[in-house]
Amino acid sequence: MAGIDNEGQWIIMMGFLVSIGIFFLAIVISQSTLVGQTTAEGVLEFPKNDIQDLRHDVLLVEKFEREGCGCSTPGCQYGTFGCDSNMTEIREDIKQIFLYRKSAIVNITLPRCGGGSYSREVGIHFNNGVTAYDEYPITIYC
Amino acid sequence: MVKDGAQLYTMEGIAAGLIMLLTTYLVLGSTSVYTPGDTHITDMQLEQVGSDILKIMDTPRNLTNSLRPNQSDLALMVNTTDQQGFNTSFVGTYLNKPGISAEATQSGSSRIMIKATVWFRNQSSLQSYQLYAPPGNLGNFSAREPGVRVTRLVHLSGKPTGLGPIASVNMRNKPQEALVEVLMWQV
Amino acid sequence: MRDSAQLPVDFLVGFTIFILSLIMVANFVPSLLVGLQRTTGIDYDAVAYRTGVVLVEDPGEKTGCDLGTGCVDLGKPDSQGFRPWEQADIYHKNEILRLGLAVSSNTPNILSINKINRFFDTTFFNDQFDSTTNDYRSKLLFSPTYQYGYNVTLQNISPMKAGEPALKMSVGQPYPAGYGYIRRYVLIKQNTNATVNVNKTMAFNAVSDDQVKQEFRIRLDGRILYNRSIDNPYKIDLLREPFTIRITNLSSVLNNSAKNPSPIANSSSQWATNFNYPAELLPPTNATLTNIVFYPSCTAPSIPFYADRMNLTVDPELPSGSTQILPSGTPLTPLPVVNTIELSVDPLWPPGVILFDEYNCLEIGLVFQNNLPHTLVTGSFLYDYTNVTRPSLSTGMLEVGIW
Repeated sequence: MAGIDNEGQWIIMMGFLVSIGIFFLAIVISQSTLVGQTTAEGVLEFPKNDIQDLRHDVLLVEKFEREGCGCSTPGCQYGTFGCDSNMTEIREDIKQIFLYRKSAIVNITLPRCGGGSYSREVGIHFNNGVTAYDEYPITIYC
Repeated sequence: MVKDGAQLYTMEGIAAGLIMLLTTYLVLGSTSVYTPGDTHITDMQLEQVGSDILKIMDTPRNLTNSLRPNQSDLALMVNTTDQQGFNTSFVGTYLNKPGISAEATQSGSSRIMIKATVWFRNQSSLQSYQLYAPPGNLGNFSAREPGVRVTRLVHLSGKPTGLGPIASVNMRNKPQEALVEVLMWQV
Repeated sequence: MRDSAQLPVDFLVGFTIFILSLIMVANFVPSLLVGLQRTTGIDYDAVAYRTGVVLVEDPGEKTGCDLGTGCVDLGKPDSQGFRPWEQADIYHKNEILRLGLAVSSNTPNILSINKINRFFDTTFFNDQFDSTTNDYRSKLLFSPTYQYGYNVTLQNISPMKAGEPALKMSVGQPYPAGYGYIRRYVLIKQNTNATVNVNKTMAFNAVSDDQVKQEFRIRLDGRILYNRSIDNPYKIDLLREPFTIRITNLSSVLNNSAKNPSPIANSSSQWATNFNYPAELLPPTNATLTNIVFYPSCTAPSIPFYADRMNLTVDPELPSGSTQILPSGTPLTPLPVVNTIELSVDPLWPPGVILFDEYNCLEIGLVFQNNLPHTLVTGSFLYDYTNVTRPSLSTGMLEVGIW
């Protein structure tokens, strides 16, 4: 072994360097295939339709309450016990539906519109663990 | 006469060449340049289409004579439990509207089937009843793609008519919110 | 160090083998990188989805300063101001930030017909594929440098309002083999109109022959039109929508005066007397529209009409009919009218001499001739939700393709 010349070892080293470079390229390329997948999945993951639906429904329910809970009998008007109990049930409906079918926590703030107040400030809170949406206040004139 | 001390150069050259070729072969064999997310793109398009259709079905087209919004088509169908009407409207009127020359047929074809359920709250739990179920022959199962779920909250003024026995007992006859859930899939 | 300048053959062979392998491997590398350079499939569906959202769920936006010349002060007043983007003229086109078709941000999936018509107007927006100033790329796709191919098509599913043809509009290029795609379903809100038959009710017939003015007014009351109990998709929004009013049967209010004494008969078969020569009768001739005026606040003194544009059509069903575009301020040359006047008024967005908004009232007065033969029309037509034709929302389908 004493007669082995070390001069040619640079050839092997060049070979190794090129191999490492190719491996690095392979790692970079393997990351790139994840990008496209995440784009469409990101769209699916964001609860745009849920939030729009919730917002639309809360405003619909707010208007329903402000106009007397749909009752036509004299005693069942806004601010009376009949309307209050209806509203409590409706809010519970929305909370349970979103909790069990959409795995989201929803909290709706609907202050009363009586006592001389000029407007009411509605609040919506939505959180499905990945996306949180808060809107406060939505000012609606009584 | 010929020195053989430098044969090492040849061997090193061969060895280096072999290393590079082997590496390239390994790398090319392992990275797959494939088209990712195709299924998810179709899901995204289908989900958007379904949500749009439910939103449109739930929007009244005009005010009444007393300037109140009319009852929307969707609320009417849920209030009367109009099963066939829901399918005809959802799939026939919008998804497969004849005469519309859509530029692409990925989302919106006669191969899409739906199943609709209504969820309502009974005390502290949710219960459901079927609004529309597809007929028995669902086509070739092995070619079925995963389904997409779209939902819409509807405001009911009372208990709907035409309910099955369990739902008509458990649903309360007061103003309430219910969730219409539609499962869409391609066969 | 050798000084014989001779390489061993083995070294040459080994080195050659190495170099040859290196060249072969280097040829493989571009095929690895092809996946990174690929520009088909993955990205286009996301761009199409984003474009669909901007078109369907966003009302669009226009600033008050010119993006081409730089915005020193975003609040810089200009004659167009922050009006809706579909009302921008060619001089303010560069101020449009985004093209969106929704009526408002609270009404996603409900599109405004005025925005639709403006969006698909390729004489206003540059639709050239090769142009670097393509408006759709910069204001909708947000990529002024990368040359996306695009195709946006909108067509209706349920019929449009009565008298309107089916809707099918598109911009962009024809679809190639591979593209990203999204389809959205929408509702289309169309403009309102009204038809007034002046003979149908006595409210519009003058009872006295010697009124100071023979004038028919159209009353636009913002407090009624913008009443909060009306939901957004159904509002008659005259700040953003044009409207058309059609006044018919004018020939029945001509020269209704009978011979002395009054009352006025409601039939044009009774001719007026020539007051200079009472024994002579005058046959009815055409009415004459002499002026159009505005009444700010519905009570103030009248001012000459002031709108970006009004379209006046006279007797469209007759060969003698005419149409003209009225610019603001210029006096009207008196027009003979046989039976029908149709007035189309552009959106009444301020600023201007007139002030019309949700708290104010505006009347448009059509002034008729007061000399013999008299056009005995009077009264005020309230343009509100019960008197006018409110078209229902029509369903439509929007498709976006990107490549």
